[in-house]
Amino acid sequence: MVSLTYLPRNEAMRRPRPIYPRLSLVGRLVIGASLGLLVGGCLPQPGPEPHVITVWQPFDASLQPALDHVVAEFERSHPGIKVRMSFASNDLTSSQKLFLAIAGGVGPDVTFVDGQQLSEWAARGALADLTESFEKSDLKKEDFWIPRWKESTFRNHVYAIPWGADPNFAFVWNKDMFRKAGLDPEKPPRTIDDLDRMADKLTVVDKQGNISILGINPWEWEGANSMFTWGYAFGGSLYKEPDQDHPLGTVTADDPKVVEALEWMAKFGRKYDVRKVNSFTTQVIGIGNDPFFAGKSAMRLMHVSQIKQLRKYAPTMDFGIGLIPAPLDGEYPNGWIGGWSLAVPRNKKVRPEAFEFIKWMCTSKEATTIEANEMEQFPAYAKSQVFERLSKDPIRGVFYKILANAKHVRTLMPVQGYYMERIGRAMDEVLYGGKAPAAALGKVRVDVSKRLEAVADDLAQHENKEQKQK
Amino acid sequence: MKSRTFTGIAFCSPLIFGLVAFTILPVLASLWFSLCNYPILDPPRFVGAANYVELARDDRFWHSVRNTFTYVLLSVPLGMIVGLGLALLLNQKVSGIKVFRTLFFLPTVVPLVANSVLWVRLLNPQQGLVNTFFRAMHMPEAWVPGWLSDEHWALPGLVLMSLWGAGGGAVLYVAALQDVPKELFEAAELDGAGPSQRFRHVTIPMISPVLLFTGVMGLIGGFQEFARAFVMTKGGPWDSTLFYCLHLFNSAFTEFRLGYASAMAWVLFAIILAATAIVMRSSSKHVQYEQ
Repeated sequence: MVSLTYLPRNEAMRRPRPIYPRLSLVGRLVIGASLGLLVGGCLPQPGPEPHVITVWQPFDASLQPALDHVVAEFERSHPGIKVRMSFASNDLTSSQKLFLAIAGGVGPDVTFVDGQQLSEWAARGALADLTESFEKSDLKKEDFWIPRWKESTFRNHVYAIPWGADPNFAFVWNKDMFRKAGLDPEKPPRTIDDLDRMADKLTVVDKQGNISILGINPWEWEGANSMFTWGYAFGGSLYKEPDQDHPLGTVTADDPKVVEALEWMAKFGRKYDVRKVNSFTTQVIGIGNDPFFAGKSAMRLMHVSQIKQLRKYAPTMDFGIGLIPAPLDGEYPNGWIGGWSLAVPRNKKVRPEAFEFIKWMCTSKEATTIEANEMEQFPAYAKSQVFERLSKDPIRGVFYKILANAKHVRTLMPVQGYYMERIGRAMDEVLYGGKAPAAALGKVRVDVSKRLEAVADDLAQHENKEQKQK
Repeated sequence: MKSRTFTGIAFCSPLIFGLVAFTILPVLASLWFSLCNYPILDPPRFVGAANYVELARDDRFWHSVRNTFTYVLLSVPLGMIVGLGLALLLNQKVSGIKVFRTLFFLPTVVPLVANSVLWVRLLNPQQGLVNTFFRAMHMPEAWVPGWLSDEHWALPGLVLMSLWGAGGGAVLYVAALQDVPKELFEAAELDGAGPSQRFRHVTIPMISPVLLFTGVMGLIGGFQEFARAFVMTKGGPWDSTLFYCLHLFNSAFTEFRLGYASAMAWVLFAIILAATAIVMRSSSKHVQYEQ
């Protein structure tokens, strides 16, 4: 074995001469590289693939079979186009992989974008303008659920086509637990007073002061999502749509009805101890151990995709499903719509085949059927024939009712990520720190409005620059 | 000779290229970005010291600094004490000691995310093993910690979890303990020193270089604490586990304020440099190196 250490000079000189001519290192590298190129050039080259489109999706592995199915269906009906779909995580605020790819100029042809992200991403220049492709197509905005369509445009430009529509949320209750607590299982709470009274009857606290059965955890949906849900149910709104004076909309975090909703949650937190409620519902590992599925929590707000989980983890549960309770002067039926849309990153030309894929995914009979049946999601395409069946379904029909009646989305402002984070913190200040809801939400309004002004200034600067360039 | 130098450099070139392209240049670039507004999708725009000024005024930044210092001050000394205690036990001449050494070292090789998921379960205030133990010890219910659901107990919970990895330090301490010459113990014993005096005046000084090493490494790692909080608490409840690096990560990759995050990274570098320098300088009085 030859040692890698240098040999003494005289020993090195005693080595036998190599049979090939002596070459410098650079010479050897040049010959090596040339041989490599020669061999590479002789190998059969793959033919050009002009119609391959890359798509980035954010879903977990359980939806992979459905995604494979939808891609196979598309490729079958569009023989000239191949789809390469891969995963890119998206925490509903940002997508690190996508943003870094856009910055590096290597983004996909098509990407999923969550409705609430759209204005922010469009304002940041992350997405391509689809207005022209949309206008040339036979699509009409009336074909989609209106809140979802609003979430796909920014300042009258189309930046995405809505794919899914999540009716948030349905109210689900465990009838057996109602019976055990002496409540009528067929009469769910209609008002917030009903809900308080029933939660009180259903909650069981043991001798040591720990919760062993919980009525409901009103803030179980991550901070801000709960605030949107109850804020709207109480009849409030967290934003005002753009007008002449406020072209990007107005932050109304401390709307009196939203404050009222947070006051109610704070009262609930004081009564049952926010720390104990959270340790009961949120410090849980594994979906099967979710207190509602495990029969330890009697009521909860449920997303449409969780019905599948409910059937899997609590197959024998006798449950009821209805609308979220609201104060008598609040909004009933209530709810807000979220969902994913399909867009094109800004550094990609909007290729006709990419737009065809988007259009097919969002509106075709095949794609919306797979979306509803295999992915357990509702299409954003209101004309989809799946709604004929879904509207008559005893469980999913409730979600359909919420979808058909909902007027709201979270907000349509290009500061949504920051807004969500600030609302979450304000809720912590109130629930944990005992801060007055009006003061906490007032601070959110001030902070987020400032950020909104900064975005407006940035946009104005960009526009000036573009006009000068023109 | 010249061609040998050239050949040497040529062989090192992949490493040199990697070091320059993936370490030195990004580090220098981050210094430049810290003076810019850089929202990643647009080119960086020079704003002078604005990011550093904003840092000084950012309540959450100071909150994350306080959390991180508290974590370091609790976890580093405790980790060293527990590690040393384990090492003293593992240094005994009893049968099967190798099995115990392996067992105590095991948590160090378990991936941090798996560890974190396990600890969310262990620290569950109602069904978790830790509180079950406290209740079995008849601890009054009002004293039983709420761990990750309670803003006062979440940080101590993460400190407790960090002690799980004390076996890594213990292995180093065992090696150091076995290096202490037996003659020194014999001489001390002849002079009438008891076990605690022998520990204080022989063992500790003789293993002090290893203590210094683990202390400095613990300090650097402690200031960079990120993964546990990211997986287990996301900084909550009520920002009680918002560590410096978690705040930095959120600024960079959630808000995409890369300039601001770069400024935070350089401030962290200065903090770690200063803390390490203080420890190294003060160590000359306490650490003894064998001649």
